[in-house]
Amino acid sequence: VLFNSLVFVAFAAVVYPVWALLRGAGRRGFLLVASLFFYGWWDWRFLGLLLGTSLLDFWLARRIEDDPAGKRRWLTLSVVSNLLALGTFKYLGFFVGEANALLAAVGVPLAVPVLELVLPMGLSFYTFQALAYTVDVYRGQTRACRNPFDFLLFISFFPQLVAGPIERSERLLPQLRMERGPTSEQLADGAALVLWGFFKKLVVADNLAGIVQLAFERDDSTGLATWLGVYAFTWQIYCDFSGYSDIARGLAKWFGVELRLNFDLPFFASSPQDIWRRWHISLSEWLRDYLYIPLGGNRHHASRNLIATMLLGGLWHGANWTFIAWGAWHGAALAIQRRWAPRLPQPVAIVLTFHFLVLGFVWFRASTLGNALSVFWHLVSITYRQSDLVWLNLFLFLTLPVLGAEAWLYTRRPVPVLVKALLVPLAVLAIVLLGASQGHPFVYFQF
Amino acid sequence: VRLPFSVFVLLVVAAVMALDAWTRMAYRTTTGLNGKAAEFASTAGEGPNLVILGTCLPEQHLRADVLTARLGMTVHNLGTAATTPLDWYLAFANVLPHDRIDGLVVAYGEADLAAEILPYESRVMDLARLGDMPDLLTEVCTDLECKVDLALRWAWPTWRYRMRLANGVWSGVRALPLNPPAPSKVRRYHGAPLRYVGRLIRLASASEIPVWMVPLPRRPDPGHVPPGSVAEQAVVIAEAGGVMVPVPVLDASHFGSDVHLTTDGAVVLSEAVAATLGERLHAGKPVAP
Repeated sequence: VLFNSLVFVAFAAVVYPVWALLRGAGRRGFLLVASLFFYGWWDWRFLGLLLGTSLLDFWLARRIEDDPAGKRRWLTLSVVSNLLALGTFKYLGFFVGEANALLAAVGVPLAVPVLELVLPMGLSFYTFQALAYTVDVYRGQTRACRNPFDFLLFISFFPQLVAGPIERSERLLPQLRMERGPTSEQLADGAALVLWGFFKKLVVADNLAGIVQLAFERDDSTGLATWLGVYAFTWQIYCDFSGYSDIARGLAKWFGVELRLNFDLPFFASSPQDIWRRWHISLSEWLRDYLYIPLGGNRHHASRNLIATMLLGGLWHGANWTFIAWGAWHGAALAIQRRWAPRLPQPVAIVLTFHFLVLGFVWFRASTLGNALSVFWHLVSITYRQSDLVWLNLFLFLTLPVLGAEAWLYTRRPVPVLVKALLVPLAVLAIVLLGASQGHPFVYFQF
Repeated sequence: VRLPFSVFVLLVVAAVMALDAWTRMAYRTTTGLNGKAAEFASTAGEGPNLVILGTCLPEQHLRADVLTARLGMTVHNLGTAATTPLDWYLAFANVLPHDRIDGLVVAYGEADLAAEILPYESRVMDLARLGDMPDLLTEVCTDLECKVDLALRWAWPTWRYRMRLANGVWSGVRALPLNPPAPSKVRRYHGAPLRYVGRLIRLASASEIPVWMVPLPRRPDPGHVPPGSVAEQAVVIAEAGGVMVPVPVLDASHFGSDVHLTTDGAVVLSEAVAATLGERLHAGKPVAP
């Protein structure tokens, strides 16, 4: 079920009241059934994969804890099984296709059949969450879960199942086991987050999609239209993904569950390193804890480790050279920053970092490396048409409210209650009237 | 300071209700088929009255003045752009006074009965009543998303007129998204148009109103392949009791596009339809061709 669908409205209208009426284990059981229904609504066949990999990890984590002598073997099995699932569905077709191309290039007449597999929604997110769990049990940082239903709920909790935030077991599992309902603060904060998330997704991100096409899907775009498209994509993906995260956090709060912050005003980052403290925080911390540090971290070959981590982080997003290039873009910047970090006034650093982020997203959004280079080429052409001003108008109309709100939050000043009272109806009206309800899937669902 | 949840909910409800009140006021003068049908219901004389239902094709191509002069009955052309057989059925079932209709012409292009039903905004749900909802939800919709949307449209005018309201905002800020939100135009309601044509004919027959079906011509094109459902259409219409009215093949010069006639073409077609209908009327009752 997509959050931005009317089916979800019906789903939520049933699930929340029923859950509120239940108590104890019935609550958790019902939430598990609802979460599996939520996932299976898209394609029930992939429930088998979700349940299979989750139960395997549940069992392997217990083996790791119960069999200290063989725990390395059990962890290896967990890592291999998760990566096998991820690799089969997400990367097999890409690598086989690339291998075929390479063989053809060197004159070997061998074409391995390429399997066109549908990527199960949320696979990258829930396998990373499960992997983190077994590694944490191996490291002794968390206890193995003894109740398979609790563990299944930890993996499949519907607000964060398909696009995160990627949660750690020591944080989420205890909350799911608690039998209390939401506090009045959680209800209020959850409502605000859900509303703000839907505003960012339906009003801003979806309506920016057309401007993005100007840059990435037309050959005759002017320089101004291309810049607009590239800026628009940065805003689109931010509002899309952070909108999803806000909705997820808000919905979880209504169950009395606190999910971690996934975005912390990333457009106010002042360096490439600061970006990753603010953008998709749950992934960047996962990469730090389970990839960068095991590779050696800052202790030795830090630059190499950074680049390798970011390359794999790019590849995590999708099986395409463009994502690898995007990872390399960030990895190289992080490596350079380790050796050379000029001292700049904060506003200048923020503007430069923002443009580094924007240009990096050219790689991310482009369909091919050639497409990305073409966009860069258009960016240096100083041309515009009168019609571009309409898109500029639209771009400013959509993005300025979010920028204004985030700039206010950046100052850490509290929002006056009267302003909040005014913003709530305005956001509702904007969502009802301007929200694109054609069911644009969330961008990160494809990952 | 945090807004209490109850205040939050009250603000949301107040915003929705205020917008709804404004929408009801702004759109209380309805347009389209619902407006035409309501006008007919309030102004039509005792008759004899002939009512034409259909899309923009009969609206433009069947000249009420020509038909009125030839047939000796008052012709009311209720053809409306972007309507579907579902709209025609609901207008006839819920709005049009049957006792003031002496004949019904349903004029259609070949795509009108072959395509899926597209419930254009402010049409279907303006014509539907509560009693129609179970039927609409089961017959027209095949998925839950459609059912929820349809129920929302019926119950909540703001949702129904959302596209118009949004267009007002976009033009107000002099900006237009490249992919404007147009949920109703792109969402297909997988209903069978033919099924509603059959219902319309049967409902009219129950009130002893003869129904003449006029398949509108298209520009002669040897390469054109008509949809496979044309034969099925004839069967459904005949079984329901409708009478097909043959129309002449018009010269290509009478067409402004593949399906739209020029002004002269409309007069030629109207004369031909009037002549055929006149024969049927003078024979006392409709006769199959």
